[in-house]
Amino acid sequence: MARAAGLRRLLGRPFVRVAAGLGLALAAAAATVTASLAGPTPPPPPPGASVRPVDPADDGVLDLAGSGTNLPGIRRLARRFAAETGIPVRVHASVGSSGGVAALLDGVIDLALASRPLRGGERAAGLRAVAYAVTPVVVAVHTDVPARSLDAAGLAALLDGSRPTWSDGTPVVFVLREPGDSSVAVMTRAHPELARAIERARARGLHRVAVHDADVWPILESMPGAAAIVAEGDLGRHPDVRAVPFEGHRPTVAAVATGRYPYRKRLFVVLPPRPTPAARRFAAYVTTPTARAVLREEGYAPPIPARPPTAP
Amino acid sequence: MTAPGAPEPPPVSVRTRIASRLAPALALAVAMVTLAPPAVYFAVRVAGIRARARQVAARTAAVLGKEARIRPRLWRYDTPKILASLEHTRAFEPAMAVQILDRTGRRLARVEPAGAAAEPGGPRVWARAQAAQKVSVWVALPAGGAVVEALWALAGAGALGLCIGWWIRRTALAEAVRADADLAEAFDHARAAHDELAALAADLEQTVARRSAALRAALDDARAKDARLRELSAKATAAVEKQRRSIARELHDGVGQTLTAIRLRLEVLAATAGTEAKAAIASLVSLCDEAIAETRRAVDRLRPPVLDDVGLPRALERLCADHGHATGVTCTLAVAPAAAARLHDAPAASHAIYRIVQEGLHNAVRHGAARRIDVRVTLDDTAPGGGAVVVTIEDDGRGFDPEAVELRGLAFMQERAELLGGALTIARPPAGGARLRVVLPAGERSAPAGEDPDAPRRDPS
Repeated sequence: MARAAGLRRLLGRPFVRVAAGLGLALAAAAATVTASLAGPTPPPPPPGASVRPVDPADDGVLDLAGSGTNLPGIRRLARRFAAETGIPVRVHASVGSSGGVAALLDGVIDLALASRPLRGGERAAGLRAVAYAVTPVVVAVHTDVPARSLDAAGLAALLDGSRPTWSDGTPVVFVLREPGDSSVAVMTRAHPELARAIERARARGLHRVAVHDADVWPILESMPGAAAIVAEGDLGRHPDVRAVPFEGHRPTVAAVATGRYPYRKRLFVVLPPRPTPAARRFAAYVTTPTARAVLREEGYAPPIPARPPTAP
Repeated sequence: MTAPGAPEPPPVSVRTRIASRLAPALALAVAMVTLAPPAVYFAVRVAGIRARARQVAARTAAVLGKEARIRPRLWRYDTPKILASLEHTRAFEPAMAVQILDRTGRRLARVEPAGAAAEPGGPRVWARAQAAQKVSVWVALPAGGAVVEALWALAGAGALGLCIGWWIRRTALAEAVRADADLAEAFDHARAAHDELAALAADLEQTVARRSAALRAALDDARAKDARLRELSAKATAAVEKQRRSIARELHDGVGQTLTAIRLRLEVLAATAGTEAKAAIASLVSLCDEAIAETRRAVDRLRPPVLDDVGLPRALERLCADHGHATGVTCTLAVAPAAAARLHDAPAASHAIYRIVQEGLHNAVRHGAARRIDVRVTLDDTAPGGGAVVVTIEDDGRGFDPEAVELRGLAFMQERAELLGGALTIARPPAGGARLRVVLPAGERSAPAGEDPDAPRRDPS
């Protein structure tokens, strides 16, 4: 009773009531802010994250995966290799050069297909790249596009939207790949203004973005006014798409092989630190004359020494 | 409570009291106005940010699902590219952070805002979407902008709250002071009115006391006059009754005896007279008989001799018996002994009761066509003034309305009763007939009215 009476006396004081009111209001506001911010957050990485996430298919099949630029030629080589050696080969859909290398490091596949040289860390991990072909990087357009040739300034104008239509009035629809794409990198290394134009285009959200080359081709085929920077590897299978001469150079296998067409990228087969015999055999096979002949038919040139492309 | 001898605390003004009482509510109101809008704004903004993040997460999860269908085993190695491509779509925001985690929690891909978009240390709002193969996509957007905006809103709302609080306090205090002044004025008016009423009440009490005393005096005077009037009336009635009895006695004892003696002498004279003289004497005897009869009727009208001969009870018995014999009506009589004893020495009352019963019997037969009449004489000891004699005459006739029928007999009965200080009432019982009720005072005050101590007693025999 005495305690209750003391509490009542305490609550009866104006200062205490003011403090209680302010405290209540502050508590309500704090509860509102806390409740609005509350929510699940990503869990921290579990210990032992290096455990292989995907079990390799231990079925005696040689698994290959990597950059999509390699796939048209490699698929044909794989069939031929399987026919000649009896070793079945499975070529997975494109996961990109980095994806293939990562899968190889995880031991999920036997060989990776890269359209760029290995990076320092990858080499340090014991990977070894075997260059087996060169393919031109081209500006591909829908066949209805009236442009007969392009230069770097014109291409930059197409990319950053300063030239929104072709000469016949058709709107320019440029299909970009994600940043870091090796084909675009070939062009931007030779012409830095293209990199700036692409940066402006990305900032403005001007163009569509495709994840794989395989996603680019349908757009180029189906949409008049479409254009893209792609490796030429699969161009022959798409009759409604053509390559536009760039900076006065016509992208042909011969021009690439002789080095006259500077916009090219080398293709590699990447071996793990301890490759399987089948993987080792396939890596050796892709550099054989038989394989090069097949690759030439697919639009690939034989590998040439690495040389950074420069503006002509 | 102030301790005895301690100085009285200074009076607290209404303004101070109201301000003190108002302070907690004002503080709460200002705090609510200050805190509620920014808090709500922040909550809404964060909800919007979370919705945007959830939208991007869902879209990313959908793309991953498509990739998983195309590359069932190796799609996870493609997630950095997918994320990089999404990073440059319109839905993606530079400040966005994305993590793609597989079912074990291993991070498949990650995007962190860089450059100007990065907000180190600021709060983030995460949203999650589930992709194929139990892969989860987490997208975060910074809420630092919302915090800054909420702080600005807090500053604005705080200023607004202080202004509102100041205005409420100022208005409330002004109104309170004004109301206090009005109350003080009203209190002064009420006090003046109260004083005026108190003076009026005192004056009124004195007036009422004076008037009451005057009324009491007037009432006492009226009562004294009434008593005196009753006394005089009783004395007058007694005197009248005494006179009547005296005249009746003179007529009976004087004139009547003389006429009787003359008649006897005439009869003696006739025995010795001749024929002619006998005829004359017979004529004189006849005249004497008529004179004797007339004298008797006069004596009876003045006061029935039977009252003095046999007393009231027996006189009433004879009256009832004679009336029943003459009219064929059944008459019953009941006289209470106490009533008879009280009326024994009250000749005026006895005479009045006799006449009233006589008139009542006559009226019952003549106006009510009664076949049975009950007469009761009782004594009511509880009546004020020493009791009362109650005479009730009740019949089974058709009754009558005393207001509608003008009866001289009734007036006489009422007059006789009132002369003795009594009263007469007529009622119609539910069973039918009529009921006359006469109440005559039988106490000490009424005794003189009917008593005649000087009256000579007649020998009933």
